[in-house]
Amino acid sequence: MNKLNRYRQPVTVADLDLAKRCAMGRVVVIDDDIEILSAFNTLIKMEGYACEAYLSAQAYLHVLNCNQLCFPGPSCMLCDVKMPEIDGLELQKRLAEMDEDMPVLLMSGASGAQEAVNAFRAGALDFLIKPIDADILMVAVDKALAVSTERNSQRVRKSSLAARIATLTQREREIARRVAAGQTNPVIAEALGIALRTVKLHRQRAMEKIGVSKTTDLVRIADEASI
Amino acid sequence: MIPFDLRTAFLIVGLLYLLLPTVTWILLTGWHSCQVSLWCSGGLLIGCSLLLVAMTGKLAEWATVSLATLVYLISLFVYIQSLRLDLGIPWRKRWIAAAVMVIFLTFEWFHLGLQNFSLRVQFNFGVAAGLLLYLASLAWRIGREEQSPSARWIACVYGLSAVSLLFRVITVMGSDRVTNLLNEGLSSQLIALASLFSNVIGHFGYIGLALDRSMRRELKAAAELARDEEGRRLGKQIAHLDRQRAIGELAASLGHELNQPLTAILTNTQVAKRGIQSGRFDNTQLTEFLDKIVYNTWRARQIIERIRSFIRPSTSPCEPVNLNLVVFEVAELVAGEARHHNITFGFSPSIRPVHVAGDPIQLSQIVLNVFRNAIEALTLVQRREIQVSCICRDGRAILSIWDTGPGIAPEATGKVGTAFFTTKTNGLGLGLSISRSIASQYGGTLSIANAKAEDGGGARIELNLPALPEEKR
Repeated sequence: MNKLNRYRQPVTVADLDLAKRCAMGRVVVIDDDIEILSAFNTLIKMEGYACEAYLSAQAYLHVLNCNQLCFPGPSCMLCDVKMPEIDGLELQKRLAEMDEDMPVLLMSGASGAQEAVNAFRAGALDFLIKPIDADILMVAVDKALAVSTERNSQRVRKSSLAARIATLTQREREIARRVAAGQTNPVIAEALGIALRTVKLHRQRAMEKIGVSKTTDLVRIADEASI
Repeated sequence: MIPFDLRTAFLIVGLLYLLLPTVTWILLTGWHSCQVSLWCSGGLLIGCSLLLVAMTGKLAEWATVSLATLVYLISLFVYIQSLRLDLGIPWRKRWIAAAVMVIFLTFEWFHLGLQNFSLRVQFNFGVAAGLLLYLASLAWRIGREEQSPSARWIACVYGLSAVSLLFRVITVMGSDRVTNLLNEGLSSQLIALASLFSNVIGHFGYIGLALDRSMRRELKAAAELARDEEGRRLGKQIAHLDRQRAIGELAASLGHELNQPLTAILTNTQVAKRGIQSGRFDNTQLTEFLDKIVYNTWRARQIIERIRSFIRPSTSPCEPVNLNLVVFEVAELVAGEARHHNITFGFSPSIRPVHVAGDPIQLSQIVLNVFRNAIEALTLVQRREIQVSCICRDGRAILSIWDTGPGIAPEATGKVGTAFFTTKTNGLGLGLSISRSIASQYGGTLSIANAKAEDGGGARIELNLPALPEEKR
């Protein structure tokens, strides 16, 4: 919820450019080596994406905690594993704790298998071995951004669905739940001690409010939102 | 029955006694030592005393009897002292002087006090025979210890001399009329002959002994030199192997370090290529990327250069080395490893460079060993700092490195830095002992202790080397 409220509107020309880039995708790059950082920064910007570069995980966490506004759009993170203080795996863990669902790409130089395994277990989308070919990197970024887009749209759908479900009355919700559980109208009428006609009416209203026309859709959404 | 004139015989022997020590002295030029000088001067003194005896009747009695006896006594003691010096058990000079005085005064007392000529001769020749026998026994001992036939010959001829003197004592004891040495019969001839033998054989034997000995000494010195050389070479090899091992253990972090500039190079190159292909780059932008590539190539080269210069076998024995620079280079070498373990380096270099004479590679080996120990110790604690200070005080260059690790356990304090003592599970216990021997090679010390509590209480290593004065750099 919080995430949706953090979006801002473009007001200057620079903002417009940034907003356009963010709409394509925003990549957060974290590496303790400034040379690598600036090279990736240039590469990503050249491909038309927005890029935020940080020299350490702390710096990024600090900015994140400030809860600054940003432009809407998919985003992903490209993070070095070996860093002082907070390394890539640790950062990934902390983001998960903070409920940040940004896809994470980890990179490392000639890493051991264990590092890679840990990264994937913690939910990293890809593990890139330095030096990284630009094509491979951009493919990985595209994939991560696609995942992010998918996650964003899911989140939007879920939140609108939740808003619609909130409009149901107590009785309508109860009947929708029973329909989803597979009970027929007469069974529901029997169980609740009301007339069959009333059950049909409530059921019709609930379907209208949620915005579905078929019973199967009602069942699916009721499952998804666990009414 | 007198087969030869005794006066002439004593004269000839006396002259020979002057000649042969001189010859010996000249032949042994180059091997002169206190012993040789004593031996030759002893011979000269005997020559003098025999010449004085040969002058009996021509000179005053005090010269031919008292002075001759005194000189003879002194010469015997000089001989004995010479051999005792060889054996490493010299007598004190003042005891010798006292003994000579006591014997001589007793002799004079027999002469002047008792007026007993026979007793005087018995005493005189008895003491002389005793001293000669002692001399012979010393020579025999040297012969046995050094397996030297020359020394045995010396022992034999001086034993013979002692027998000849004893023969005179016995002769004198038998008769009541005693005259001087030149008027005696058989005993004097024996003494003259024995003196001749002891003179000739004694001196040539001594030359043989001295040559034997010097040859043996040279052989021994050569063997020692070879052993030293071998030891130094081995030491160098061990140090070299230790350096290679150290680099081997750093390999992972060095590989990571090297990968960084390579990654930057690759990415920058591909950015430039994409920029050109899409036609979005002008020359200025392109130059900027080329500059970045050049810079990162240089960075990679630095790392490789550092490793290579560290594992190269050290060749230069001594050159002026700036300790500050050594610390900086080694800190760069372990920077990756330190960063990996979240260790902060605090280096306070001296304002003016601190120069010492040494091999930069071997000196950096000391610093690397210390740093690696510190890094390993620091992984056990929360606060991770390594502090380095480098100062020059009273002509000594002092490099101190201390950490905030757990320090040295009390039971290990005495043993740290000795070969094959280690507290690590995978250590050989050679690092610090190699460092110590390098430090001592350059006239310095490496002390290991625990730092003060306010400094973190970890281990504190102090490398103390003679500073190189300004004008020698």
